[in-house]
Amino acid sequence: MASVDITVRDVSKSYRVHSGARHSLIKYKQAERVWALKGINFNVQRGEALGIVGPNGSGKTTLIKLLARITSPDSGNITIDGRLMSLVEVGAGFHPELSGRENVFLNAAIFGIPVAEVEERFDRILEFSGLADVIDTPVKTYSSGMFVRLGFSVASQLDADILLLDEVLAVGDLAFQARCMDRIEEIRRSGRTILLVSHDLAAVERLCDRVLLITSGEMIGEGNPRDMIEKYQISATKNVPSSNLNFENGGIALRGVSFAGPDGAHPKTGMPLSVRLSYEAETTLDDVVFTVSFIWPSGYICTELVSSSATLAAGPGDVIFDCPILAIQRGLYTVDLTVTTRSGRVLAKRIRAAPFRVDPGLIVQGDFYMTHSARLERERN
Amino acid sequence: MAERSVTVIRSGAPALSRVPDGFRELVAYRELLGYMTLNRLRVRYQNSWLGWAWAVLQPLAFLAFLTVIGSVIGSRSSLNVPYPLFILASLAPWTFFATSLSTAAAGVLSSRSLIAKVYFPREIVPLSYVLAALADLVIATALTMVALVYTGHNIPITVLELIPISLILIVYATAFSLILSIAQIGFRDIAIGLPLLLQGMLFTTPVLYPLNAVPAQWRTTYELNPLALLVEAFRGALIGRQTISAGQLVYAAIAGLILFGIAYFIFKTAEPNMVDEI
Repeated sequence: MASVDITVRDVSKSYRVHSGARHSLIKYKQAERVWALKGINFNVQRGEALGIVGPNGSGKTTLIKLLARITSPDSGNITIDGRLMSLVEVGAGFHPELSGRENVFLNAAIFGIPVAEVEERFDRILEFSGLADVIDTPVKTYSSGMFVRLGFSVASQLDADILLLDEVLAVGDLAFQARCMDRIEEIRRSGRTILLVSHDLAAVERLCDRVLLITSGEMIGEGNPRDMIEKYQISATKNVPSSNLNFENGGIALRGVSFAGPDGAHPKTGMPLSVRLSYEAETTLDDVVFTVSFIWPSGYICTELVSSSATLAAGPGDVIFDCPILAIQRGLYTVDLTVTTRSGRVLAKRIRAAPFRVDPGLIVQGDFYMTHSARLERERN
Repeated sequence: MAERSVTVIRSGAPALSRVPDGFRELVAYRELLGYMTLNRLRVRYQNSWLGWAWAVLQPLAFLAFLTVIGSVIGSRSSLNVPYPLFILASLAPWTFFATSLSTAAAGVLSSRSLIAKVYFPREIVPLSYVLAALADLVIATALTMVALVYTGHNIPITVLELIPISLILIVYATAFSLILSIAQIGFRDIAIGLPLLLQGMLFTTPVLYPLNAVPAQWRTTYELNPLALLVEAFRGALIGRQTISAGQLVYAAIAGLILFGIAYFIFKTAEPNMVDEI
């Protein structure tokens, strides 16, 4: 049996909510308690990368704080086998008046790491951070990017058995982010245990073997990353607010949008897709272009379908887009609808008009399925 | 492969085992305590123009004031050293005690951002303030000795007594610092009330007057206060006229250790949920 690095047993945690004067004698006993976590149970195997996802206020941060020993549970217990290094607040212990070099040692000491060990690794930390020029100036002169880079360098170059990560992947510039990802991957390959808490679902899917889904302090799912992320996305889209950017007074109204996969079933990756958009034009309109945009959960645009410009007669009608192959990966997207004139004037717009769910079809890694074939060719001498 | 340490995180129920566990962990984190203490000292003087000279200048300036005052009110014949030196010798341990308490009490609150982000044994924060204050005590004591020599006195052999006296004083200051810093989180009143408490302590401690100035009928009660004994003993050792018996010092040591044990237990019990209240 593989050894277990982290055992979380029936852990609950509540916070006291103070109403008004928090430290006055009279009010002290009236404070109510809210539960941040209720009866959480899970194990993390050695060498496993576990992701934790959930909406804001679900208890993810509390869980991290418990694991990092910043606070303690009301009931239950957590056993951690090995040295846990938290990259949750990199550079948290930095003292602004001290130089980068002094802070490296201070920071390591905060993690309980002996000076001798830091001295041994100092060159590697310095090299990784790329801050050799400024290492002897006080960190108060550093930019926020440099600050975090130094913090990440210290935490990631010291040997920990278990690494706790929280949104740290959004650190520094692109080049440094790539190095962070490489370093995390390297740590992962070396058999260390990783816990990643993030809203960056793509990173969670890429790094983790298993994902926990937490909502309102309770664990509502545990399983492979793709399934859990999808479950999370479905629960999250229910609460997506309608946008006040919606616009509909250019003489045309958008009535709705529907999607159909092969034979009218759910859309699947790698299979044909048809999208039907219904509208109602008040008058005859010239040069009208319809756009259906597919949006990642992160809010970035994934891809779009654009119609050629057409003249519309007054009255209701449909635009049908036919895609021979749905190339985007399984998951939950939202769809924005836009009607413009060819010159670009917006006639109508509906943000997050509908959710768009893609079921697994042709299974591939990554974000897209590319239509392809492969053939062998022998080299001739 | 190196042995892996196992950490168990439990709910914050009081348990006596927190005390030995806490000590063990404190030993593991001793380097952090060193760094924090050093940083407190370094940062204190770093951006000042005179820098480390301040550490000597402050007691020196005070000595100058006392000399002026002493020359005005006249030297008391009962003392074997000039009035300024008499005061300086007891002011050093008192300042150490008062500075420890007031900086440590505010320290945990002002370190809240660090405490909320990283785990480390929290007592390191108040301890680092006590140790930083200790540096001032060493400087002030050395300065008093220099002044003694300068005014034609010999450094008495009794200065060796300063070592055990200081150790007991450190235990005493640490105990108070731990209790105040943890109480400060729940009751911010401490910050307001502390100067008052220190004033009260100053007048019930023989800092500005000799112990034998206390009326005889009050002496027994007065000498129950370990701090009074320690300050008087400190001065006695420094000026070579010890009035405190070994038995009284043992009493102060035992009282200090008991107080420290209670303080550490309270601190470690409150520690796990400290972040939520801070």
